[in-house]
Amino acid sequence: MSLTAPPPPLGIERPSLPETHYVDNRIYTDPTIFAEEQERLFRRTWSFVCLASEVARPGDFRTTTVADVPLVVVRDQAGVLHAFVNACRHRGMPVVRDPAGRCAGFQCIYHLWTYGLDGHLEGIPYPEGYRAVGLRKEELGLVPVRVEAACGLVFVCLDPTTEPLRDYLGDALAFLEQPLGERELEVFHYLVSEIRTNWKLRTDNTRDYYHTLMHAFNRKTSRRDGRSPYRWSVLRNGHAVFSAWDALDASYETAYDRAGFAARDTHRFPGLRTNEWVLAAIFPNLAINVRTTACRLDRVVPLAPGRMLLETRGIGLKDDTPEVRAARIRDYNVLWGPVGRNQPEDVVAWEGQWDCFNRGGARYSIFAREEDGAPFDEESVRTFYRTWERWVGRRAAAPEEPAAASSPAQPPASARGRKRARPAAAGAGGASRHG
Amino acid sequence: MAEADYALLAQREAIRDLIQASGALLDQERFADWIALFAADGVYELASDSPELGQPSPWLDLDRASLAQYLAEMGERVRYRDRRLHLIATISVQIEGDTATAESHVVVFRTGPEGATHCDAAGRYHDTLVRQAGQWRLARRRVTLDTRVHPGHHVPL
Repeated sequence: MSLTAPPPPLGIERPSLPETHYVDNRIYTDPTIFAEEQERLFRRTWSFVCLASEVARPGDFRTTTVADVPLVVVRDQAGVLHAFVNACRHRGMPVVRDPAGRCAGFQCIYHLWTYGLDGHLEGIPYPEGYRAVGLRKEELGLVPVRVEAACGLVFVCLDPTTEPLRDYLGDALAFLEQPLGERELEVFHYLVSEIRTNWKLRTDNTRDYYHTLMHAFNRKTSRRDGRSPYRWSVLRNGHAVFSAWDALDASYETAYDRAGFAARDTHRFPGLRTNEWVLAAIFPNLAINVRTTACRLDRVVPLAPGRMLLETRGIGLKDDTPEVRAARIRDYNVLWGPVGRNQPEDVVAWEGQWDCFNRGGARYSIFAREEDGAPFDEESVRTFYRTWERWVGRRAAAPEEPAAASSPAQPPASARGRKRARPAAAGAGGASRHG
Repeated sequence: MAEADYALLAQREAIRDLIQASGALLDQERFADWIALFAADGVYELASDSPELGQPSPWLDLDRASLAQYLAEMGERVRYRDRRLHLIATISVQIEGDTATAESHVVVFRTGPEGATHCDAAGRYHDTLVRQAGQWRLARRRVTLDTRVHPGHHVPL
């Protein structure tokens, strides 16, 4: 299986580690692999597109791209969600040009063909011109795409054979149902960052808690004495969740007062206790990060081997009072906002790594920490690459070679997950979750 | 020109000077001096346009004390060694007694560590000012950006 780029000249010695514990950095830079990821991974897996509340009312729409395919998600008059390729069947002009809005139907600006919210082709100006060739309107509706929702999150999938969304999300749902699925959510912050790096260097970062040593904020607020109640749960389909799910004390990890902030003990997301934190890395490109009072939702959009968009949403609860909403926005922005503490630091690392890989300065990256699910354990990254191998068909540590047919990509359900009942004394945050 | 007109012009000029200084002090990373441009109960707010939300997307909304805490931590952070340059054009100043409002257009250029320069952000300052002991201070600065694709930066705009 040939690659586009030759191997870099330096640092060619393979690490003396199990092959599952490192990757060849050409998976981040090679254009052939990038194209295969778009075709074999992003066109086949479920991709998050927006919150259900962003398309809550009939006619609400949201546009996006998945694997570079332009899409529109819309709710019809009957309340049913649809997703379509955002292209007029006549000449391919996008029928929706705004990122979000509400409409009674779609009209292409070019030759004024019109479509209903359910995608059917409604009207063609001067249809008599097509009579001679028997053009059939019923065959020329907008091209539909699978769309399903869970926990207030809307996903699409371009492949008709991929398992249903809830099966795909599997055990990750148990961690998300209460904080996100119990009450209606609302986006209060939206930002797109264009970053000069490979998309997987962002997803590695989400799953690599070890890197938080870089962040001044985390160095102050996180305790490093080995007593953290937080654990990684490595789940089927490449998902991983960082949580204090079955710990009695969820507040130990994050001492906000040591960074000059108040404890997060009011207006908590449903089910979360004081200072509690849940981070779900959903394969391949979604990160859901709930730090007690505010939720950050990141979707990574690959544009080229060395270029990606990071699409970030700050999320509160729909029925927040103005005071509570203002507090959530503050909690969100001091840490996660574009002028917050952490993202600008991460960008320096992501771009620096990619520059080095692209210049041939480093051949391998190591993800070898084994700490039984403790915060710095990197099984969450390793399960990403076992799953990546299954979809892309190459070995991450030796990408010229095909992935093993019997690749142990799938942890058995709950084998390393923590799909156990939450302690009954779950604190003031709310009732226990079912597992 | 009447003496009162000269006095009004002098006040307008003082406000324009403050607005120009606010950009230059950020570019020079003289954060304590920048914060001193705010009244004791002054507020800084930054938001970008967002057709996705249908309303501005909030980036930062801090009082002077929180702003001081945030900027005092700057030395702890991992940062690009870049430089920024504010170009500010004030398009209106309205004075009523000891309060004033001003609107300015702002463009910020960023020169990265490799030396290349690009436009980092474009937007507007919407300032409310108060005169205290003869000095104009920012009671509220609201920055609204047209720019809505941005990698993030530790220094306010």
